[in-house]
Amino acid sequence: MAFASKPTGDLVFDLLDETGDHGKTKAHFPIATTVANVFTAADALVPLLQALTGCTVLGYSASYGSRDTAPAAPAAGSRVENKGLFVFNLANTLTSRMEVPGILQAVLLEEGLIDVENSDVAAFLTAVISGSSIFRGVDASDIVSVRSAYQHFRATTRRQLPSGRSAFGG
Amino acid sequence: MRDETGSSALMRGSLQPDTPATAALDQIISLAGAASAISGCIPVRVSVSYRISIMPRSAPSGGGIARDQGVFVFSSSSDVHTIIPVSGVKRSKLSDVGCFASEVFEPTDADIAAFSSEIVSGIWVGPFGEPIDAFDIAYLRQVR
Repeated sequence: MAFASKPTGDLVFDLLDETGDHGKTKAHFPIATTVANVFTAADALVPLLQALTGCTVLGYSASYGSRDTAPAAPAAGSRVENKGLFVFNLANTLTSRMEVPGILQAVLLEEGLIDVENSDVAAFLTAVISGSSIFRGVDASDIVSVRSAYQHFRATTRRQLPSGRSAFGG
Repeated sequence: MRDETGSSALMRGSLQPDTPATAALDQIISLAGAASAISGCIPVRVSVSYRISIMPRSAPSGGGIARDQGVFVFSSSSDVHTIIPVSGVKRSKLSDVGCFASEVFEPTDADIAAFSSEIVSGIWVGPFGEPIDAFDIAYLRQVR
């Protein structure tokens, strides 16, 4: 993997007009800009947008992205619909889920459970749960342990169907 | 993450609030590496988003509809122009003189001038990072 940051981040405003329709406005900022500075600049635009449009600005989001400039080839037979579902316990007693698309057969047990003793699975769990990890539940509660981990299939969408599936004349 | 057929799927998580963007991306890329060891898919793109909901909210004051987009065009020192579409710009701000009356927004309108000035003087850049030097024109476009 060789990830490189995009040259810019994206700021998207969500607007609501008097009919209830939503609209978006998108601007770009240098990728090195801190989140605090982006929010300060965005706050300055909010009243200006509301004056221009008569819409209410519901909020905005700032995104920072990075892409792999030299991606490896996916494994033969990999399918994103074949997921590894990890359910984590949170400090507030609720749970949080994370899906890994294309889970490898080599990390699965016979009954479809994920082998948490597998060294690569253990490394993944450590990256999520460890004290230095920044990952949290959606309500910012600490992730404390894994509750369950198993294989889970999602329906194939129309776009994911094989392109040559009508080759038999049916 | 992308599989052998070229199909993509997302892996989502939530982060500790106020995590700096660079630290967040570093850990997310590290997690992507750990995930790629247990997945046949390859990570191709990662991103972190910071969201703000504005509270309390006032009702829309009216005058513009979301389908009316004001397309603001800005120039830079290079030949690349930056376009910022703004949903819902009021039609009352359209110019009523000149060749493009009712299609081009009046640049001397106080709200048009304030917005375009803020874009030029602020942190904002083009999609490839080029600085925005000046406001050129804003015109009306209807979207679905």
